[in-house]
Amino acid sequence: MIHDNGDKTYIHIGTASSKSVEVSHNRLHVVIILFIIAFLVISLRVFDVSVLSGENIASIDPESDAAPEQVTKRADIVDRNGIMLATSLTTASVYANPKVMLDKQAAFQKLSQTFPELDKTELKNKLNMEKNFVWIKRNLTPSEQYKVNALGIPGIYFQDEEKRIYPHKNLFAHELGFVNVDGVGTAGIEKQFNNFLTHKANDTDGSDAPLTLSLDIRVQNIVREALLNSISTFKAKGASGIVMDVTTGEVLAMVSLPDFDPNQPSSASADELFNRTTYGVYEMGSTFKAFNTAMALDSNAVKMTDNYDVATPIKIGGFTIHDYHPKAGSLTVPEIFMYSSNIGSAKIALDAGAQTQKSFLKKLGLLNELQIELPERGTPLYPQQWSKISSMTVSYGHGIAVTPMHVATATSALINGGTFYPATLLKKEGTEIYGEKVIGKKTSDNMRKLLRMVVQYGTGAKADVASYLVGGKTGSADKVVTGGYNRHALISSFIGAFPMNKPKYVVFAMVDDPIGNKNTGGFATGGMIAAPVVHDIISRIGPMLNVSPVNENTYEIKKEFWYNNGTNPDPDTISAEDY
Amino acid sequence: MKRNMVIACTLAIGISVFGLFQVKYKVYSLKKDLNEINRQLAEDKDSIRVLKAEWAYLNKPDRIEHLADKYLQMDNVKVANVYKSDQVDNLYLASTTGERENTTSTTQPVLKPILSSARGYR
Repeated sequence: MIHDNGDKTYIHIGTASSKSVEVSHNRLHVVIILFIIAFLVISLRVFDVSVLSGENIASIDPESDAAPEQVTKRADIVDRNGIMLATSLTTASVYANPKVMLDKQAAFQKLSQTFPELDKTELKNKLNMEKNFVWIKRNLTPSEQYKVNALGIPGIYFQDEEKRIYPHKNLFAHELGFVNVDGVGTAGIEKQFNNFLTHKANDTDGSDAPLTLSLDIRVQNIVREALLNSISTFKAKGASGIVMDVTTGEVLAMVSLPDFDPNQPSSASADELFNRTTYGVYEMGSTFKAFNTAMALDSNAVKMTDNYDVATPIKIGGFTIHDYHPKAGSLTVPEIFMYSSNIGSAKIALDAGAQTQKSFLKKLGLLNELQIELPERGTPLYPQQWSKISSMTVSYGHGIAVTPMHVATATSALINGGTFYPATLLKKEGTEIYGEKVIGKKTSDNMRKLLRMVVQYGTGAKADVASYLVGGKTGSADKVVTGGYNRHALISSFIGAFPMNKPKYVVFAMVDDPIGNKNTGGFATGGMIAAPVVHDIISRIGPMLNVSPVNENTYEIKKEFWYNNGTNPDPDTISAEDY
Repeated sequence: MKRNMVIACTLAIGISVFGLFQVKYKVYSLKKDLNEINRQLAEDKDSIRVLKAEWAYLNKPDRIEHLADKYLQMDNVKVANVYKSDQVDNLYLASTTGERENTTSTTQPVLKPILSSARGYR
C-alpha cells in the first residue's frame, strides 16, 4: 500500500498484506451472512408455501380461473311497456367423447334410461362412432343435468349453451319468430334483427338494452282472444287481426291464427307457421271501396253529392257486376259506400280512370311489397294489364290481393289527415317519424265521415261502441280457389278505426271461411262476423289505451257526421237546449 | 464512503426485490378476487335472467285474467267508467261545497252517487 505523505513516500510491506487479508475476510463474512439470510428467507418461504398456506398459493395463477365467458349473448326483446317477450337462458348440453368411454354398453343403457325420449338406435350409433365429440342432448333442464352427473359415466361432458325462451308462448309467435338450435334467428323479428340482437348484447358499453317493440301485450292478448272466440263460434279456418296507431304507423297488436309455440317451432304445421297478417295475400272485397272512394274524391273525379244509377247490373266482357244488397234507382257517393254497392263503385272507378286508380293505389303502398320489419312480407297480386274491366273489379276489391297489413296501413293514411306511415314493429316514441303526404286533408275528412256513416247507418253497425265514434268498412270476398272462386267460402273482414272525430287507432279483423249460425241469420259476411270482433276489441282496448270517450250528442259531432237519409233530423234544426 | 454506497445499494436492491415480490403477489391475489367477483356477477346475472323469464311467464295475460276472475270482484274497464280529469274535479268540488254547511265532521265527500249520473248526456 502506498501512502503519499507530502514530500516523503513510505511503502509498508507485511503489515499491509495482513490488513488486506483481514478486510477480505470481513467482506467474505458479510457475503456469507447475506447468503445465509437469503437462504433462510427462501427456506422459510418454502416452508410457508408447502406447509402453512400451500392451498392458497396453488391456485394463485390468475389465468387458470379467469371469469367464464358469458354464454348468453342474444339481447332480450320487450314490448312497448318493457314486458319481456323473449330472453335467453344458459342451459347445459350434454355430449360424449366415445373414444375415452370405458364401457359403451353400460353408458348406452344408463343414458337411454335417463332420456327415454331419445331414439335408441341413434344413440347407440352415436356412442359407437370413432369420434371425439357427439351431442347426446341439447339444452337440458337443471334436473336432467343433475341426473346425468349422478350417472358418473366417464367420457360424458357438459357444455353451456344458450336457449331462447318465449315466456308468452303462442301470443307473439308470428311477430317474434324463432331461432334454430344454434341460436340463429330463422323467422320473424329474430331473423330480421339477428345481427342487432347478437351484437347489441356484446356492446362494451355494458348496456344490456333490449330491443323494444311497438307491440302492447295487453292489446295483443285482447285481439287474439277476440279472434279465437270468433273462430270457435263460426268454425273458421283461420283469422288475422291488427291494431295500429294511425299517427305513427306503430303496430300495437298483430295476430295470425292458427299460431304455434315458438319454443317448439319444429312441432308446428305449415298452416300454423304461415303468417296470414303480413305474408298471406287475400282479395279483400268491399274494404277496397274505401280506397276507391278516396281515390275518386282526391282526384276530384267525383263529388260527395254525385249520383249514380245502381239499379241494373253492369254487363261487360261476358262478366256481370251485381250488388249483394240491390237498391233501386240512384245512390249518392256516401250511399254507395254505406250500402257497399259494387255497381256504384265500378262506375266511380270508371269516371276516375284506370290509370288514376292504379297510381293512387301505388301511392298507398297497395301494389308494392309490404313495408315492415319482418322477413315475412307479402307482395300484392294484381292484374298486369290494368284494363277497364280490372279497374272495375279492383274498385270493389276483387282481382287484387293484398295482405291485411297493407289494408291497415293504407286505411291509416286515409283518415289521419292524409299522411302515409309505413307499418312498423319498433317503438317510435321520441324518434322522428317520416311520413309521406298521399291525399289531401279534405279527402281525409270526407273519408272519416264516410267510414263513420257505414257504422252508424250501414253494413258495419255491429262494430259500433258507444262514445267511441267507431268508423269502418266491411268486406266479404269469395275465397279464391284454384281456377276461380269458391262461392260458398268467404273471407270476411272489417277495417275499423276510432274515434272518428280524431282517429287514433285502426283495428282490422279478418276471419277465414267462417260458417254463419242462427245468430247471424246464416250469413258469414264481414258485417256479421268481423264487425263484432272489432267491436269487442275496441270496447276493451279503448279505455286501456286512454282514449277519451266522445260525447256523441253534441252539436259539433252530430253536424260533422250527419247524413240526410230523410229521417235523421238535421242538427241545424234542433235547438241548442236539446243537447 | 465507498462501503456505505455498497451497503446502501445492496439494501436498496434487497428492498426493491422484496417490494416487487409483495406487489406481484398482491396483484395476483387481487386478480383472483376480481375473477371470483366476475364469476359471481355472471352467475347472478344468469339467475336474474331466469327469474325475469319466470316472472314474465307468471304474468302471462291469460293467467292474470284467470287469477283476477278467481280472486277479484272486478270487471273489465268499460267506456262508461272513463271520465276526464276536469269532469271529476268539478264534480268533486260541487259535492264538497254542498255538504260543507250541514256536516261538521271532516269526512271525505262521497263521490259515488254523483259520478253515476255524471255523464250529463241525454
